[in-house]
Amino acid sequence: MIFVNYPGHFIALLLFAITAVLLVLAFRSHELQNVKRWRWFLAAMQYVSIVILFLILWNPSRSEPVETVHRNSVLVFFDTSESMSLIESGRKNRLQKAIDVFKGKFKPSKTQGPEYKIYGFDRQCYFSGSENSLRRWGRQSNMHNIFVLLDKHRVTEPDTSQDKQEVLENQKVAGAVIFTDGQADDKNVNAYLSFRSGDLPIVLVGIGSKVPQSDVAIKAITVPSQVAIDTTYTVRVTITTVNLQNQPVTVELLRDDHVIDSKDLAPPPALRGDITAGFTLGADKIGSHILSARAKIAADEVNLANNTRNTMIQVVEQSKLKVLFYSEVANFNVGKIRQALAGNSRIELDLGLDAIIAPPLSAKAQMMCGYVKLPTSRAGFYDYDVIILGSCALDNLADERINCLYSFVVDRGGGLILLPGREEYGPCAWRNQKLRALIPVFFEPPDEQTWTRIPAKVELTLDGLDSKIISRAVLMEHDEPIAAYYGIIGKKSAASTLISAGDRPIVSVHRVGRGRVCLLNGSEMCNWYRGDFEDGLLQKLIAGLTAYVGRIRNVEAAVELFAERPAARTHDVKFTAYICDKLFAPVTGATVLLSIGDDVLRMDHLGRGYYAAEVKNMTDQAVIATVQAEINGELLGEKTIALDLPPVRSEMDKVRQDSDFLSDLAKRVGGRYFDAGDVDENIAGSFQPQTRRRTDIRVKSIWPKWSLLLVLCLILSANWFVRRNIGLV
Amino acid sequence: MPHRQQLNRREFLKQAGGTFGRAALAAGGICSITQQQAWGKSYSELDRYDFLMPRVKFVEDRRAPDRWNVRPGGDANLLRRLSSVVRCKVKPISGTNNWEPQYAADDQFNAVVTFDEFKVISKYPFLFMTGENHFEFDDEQKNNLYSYIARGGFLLMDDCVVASGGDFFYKSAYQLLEEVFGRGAVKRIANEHEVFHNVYDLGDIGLPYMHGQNHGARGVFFGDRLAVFLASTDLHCGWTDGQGRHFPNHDQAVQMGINIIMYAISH
Repeated sequence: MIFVNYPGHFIALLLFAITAVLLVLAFRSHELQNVKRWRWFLAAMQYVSIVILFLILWNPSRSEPVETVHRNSVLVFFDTSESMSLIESGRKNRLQKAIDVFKGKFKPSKTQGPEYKIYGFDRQCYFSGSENSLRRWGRQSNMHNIFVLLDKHRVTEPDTSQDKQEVLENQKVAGAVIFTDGQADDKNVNAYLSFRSGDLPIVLVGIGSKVPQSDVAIKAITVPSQVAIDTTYTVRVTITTVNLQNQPVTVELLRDDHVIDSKDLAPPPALRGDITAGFTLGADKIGSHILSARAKIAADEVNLANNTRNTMIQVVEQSKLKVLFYSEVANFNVGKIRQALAGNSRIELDLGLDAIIAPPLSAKAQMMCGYVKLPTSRAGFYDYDVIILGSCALDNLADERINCLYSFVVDRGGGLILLPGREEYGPCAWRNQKLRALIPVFFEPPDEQTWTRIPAKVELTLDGLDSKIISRAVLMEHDEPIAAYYGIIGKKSAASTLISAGDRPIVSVHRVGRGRVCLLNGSEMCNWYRGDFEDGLLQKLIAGLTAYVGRIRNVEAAVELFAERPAARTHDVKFTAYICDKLFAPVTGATVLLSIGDDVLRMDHLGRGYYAAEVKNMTDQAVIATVQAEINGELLGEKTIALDLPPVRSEMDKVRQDSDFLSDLAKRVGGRYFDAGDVDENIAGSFQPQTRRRTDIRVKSIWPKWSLLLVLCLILSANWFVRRNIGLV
Repeated sequence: MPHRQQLNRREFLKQAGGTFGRAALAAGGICSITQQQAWGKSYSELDRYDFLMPRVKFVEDRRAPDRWNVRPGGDANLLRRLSSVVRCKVKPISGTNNWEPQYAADDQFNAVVTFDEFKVISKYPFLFMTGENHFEFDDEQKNNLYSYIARGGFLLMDDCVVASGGDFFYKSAYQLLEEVFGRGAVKRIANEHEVFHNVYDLGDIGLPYMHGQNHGARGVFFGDRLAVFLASTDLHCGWTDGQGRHFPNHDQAVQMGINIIMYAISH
């Protein structure tokens, strides 16, 4: 039995204690004279106490109707993203102002109106219950979840048996109010659920100033993700200014939290515009460094959160490309190209000058001079990053060797640079199908050559500009005209001409499999060389071409790594790796580890050599990641990528109330938009309060009073007194 | 210079046959040149040939028996031997036979250049300069010499020793190089240097000696590259002595010449 108004355990214990005392006193009382009279009384007391005990244990109950009153509710959504933390005027931030408007205009404490249920939203929509429980401050504003929630409550098309009015009366949610500044992540209005006017009254209240206030924001920092030590690099900082009114902007550049440079910039003439500051820094310490740009103006600025942006740069040792330069003919191009390669600190050169005819003489001279031979196995070819073939009669090679050369380009992804040569020593004369497949152009047959060699000014094509093999300025420094060696008919469909002289291609390149092949079709290339202080065209071109075709180093050949931001989750970064073995077949079951900063993740196998991992909340613009793959204890390869990802939209990038968006969104969802200052007292009337009375059947105890217990205790005490007095005990 | 000797029948037939054969080859060369010109009229000489050895024309102090264009037969012998040992197509020199003619016609060398015009010499990565007497360069020629070497050119300077055995050309060349490249620029080339080992192994011999003053192999280095080779022992005479009648070391001279050319080609 559940006692109504049960007095508590203390009172109950007190009762039992008093009863126990009375029992003791009963033993000290005198015996009574007339025993017969008290026997009937004793029996009656025994009977009553048993009945009371049964009553307590049995707890008889009965059903009775109970009437309750329910109110319909209005869902109130408060934007709790970071932009709502802004304090524009006074001491209250936007969220507090929104709460004040809500309390002042909607009067949630009134019992006559609908019941207001408080929700918050930033990245997700959550039930808060009260204004004090709202979270501070989310990094995103996702409004989609609001309308998904509201969609469950909107009025559907009534069936014929029901009256629409009746449906409306039965609806539990009367409407919704959304307080926000309009800085949603997704401003595509058409992406939001569409509501018909009348489905569900929705009111959007815009919070925040619509007038652009003075603001300086670091829009982007552009740096190379990776630079070699002891080199210089440029940092470009783009600043967006709003309503500066001719105030200058000071931009500071920090590296690892130390200010290393600053610049004062004049603001743009327009109300809103971008300005750019450039800084040149030296890479003097190996490792990862955080670069920060910080902007400030003299006058008070409302939004300080977007004044700083960080990125990362990695300074690495200059990794060398392993290059084989092989020629079977001794000509002047060999010497000058060799000088160009040997003078490049980024190249580890093996020279294979196999021009001496007599084998004993050749072998001895090679040993004395350190020349190498053309590799005979795949492993020998794969050991190189770039192979430059001078004048060679490759058709004389065995098929296996040609296959190895072909595989070096196609499977391993090595770079191949072809130089012209006379007669059978040049690519023009090759007949082997695989060798011809490597050449990026079609040649005129030698016996049909009728073109006239006319030197012309060398020019960089658009493809050449994109390839960055050489800059236009350097090319312009070579003021002597140059001529093409071969009269080429045309380039293959996937090939590009990077440099031309007149209408003749000088540098042509195309991809074959994973690798790149380049034809350097220059005449008298030895004369492009300069040995004095200024590097000549030949040195710059060779350096650019080797770096361009030799992008896949030996250790990286079996591993590819990609990174991107998923469209639906722009704060995350998805990494995908492709792993293959020494024969460049995709590998399954490898252990693939991804290192980003101090974190190491294991990548999951997706199938056919692909592995993936996703990193949450990675908002840095620059990413430096290393992937290592091994299987059965054998290292398959390693690759490091350093790249710039699209900048993630920050909550504080734009903070002005976006009334246009809110207005359009209101139309989309069949609602109404008001600025916070325009909300009047009648706004609450948008939501029809409704009460519903309901009768419920409740099961109730018949005798739930706790005084039954008191009566039972008294009877038991008296029982013992009588027993004692009549001598039963 | 040695005097002519009487020939016996065997030697006459040998020489006549050799001359006839060379004439036939020269004619064939002319045909191939013509053919090449017809086919490769688009190509420059540096594209058609792997190696060219122009002779430098210069003014000596006094008219001496051996001038700048002495004995083209030596150049011809060297180039011929070069193309037989190394896969290197050379521009042939025709109309010579060892010591004949004494002075070359203007078109008999691969090319004739002077240091008067930089644009002309800059087309040829290798130049050969020989003479017997003192000479001097004017300022412009010195500037052109420096620019030529700085841009990657190679100069072989060989003292053509005559009867007196003097090293006049050598001394003038030495002085010139010191003026152009700085005091102490002319250095001894050690026997361990690659130029003595890259085709033939001449490390034990060093610079082959024909006649004259043996100052050893000297050179000017531009960075790590040997850019000027200065010889005082008349290597050219060794090249000219095709049959080795006058210089027992004539073959070594040719080997040295091949080594020098290979070094210049490969650097």
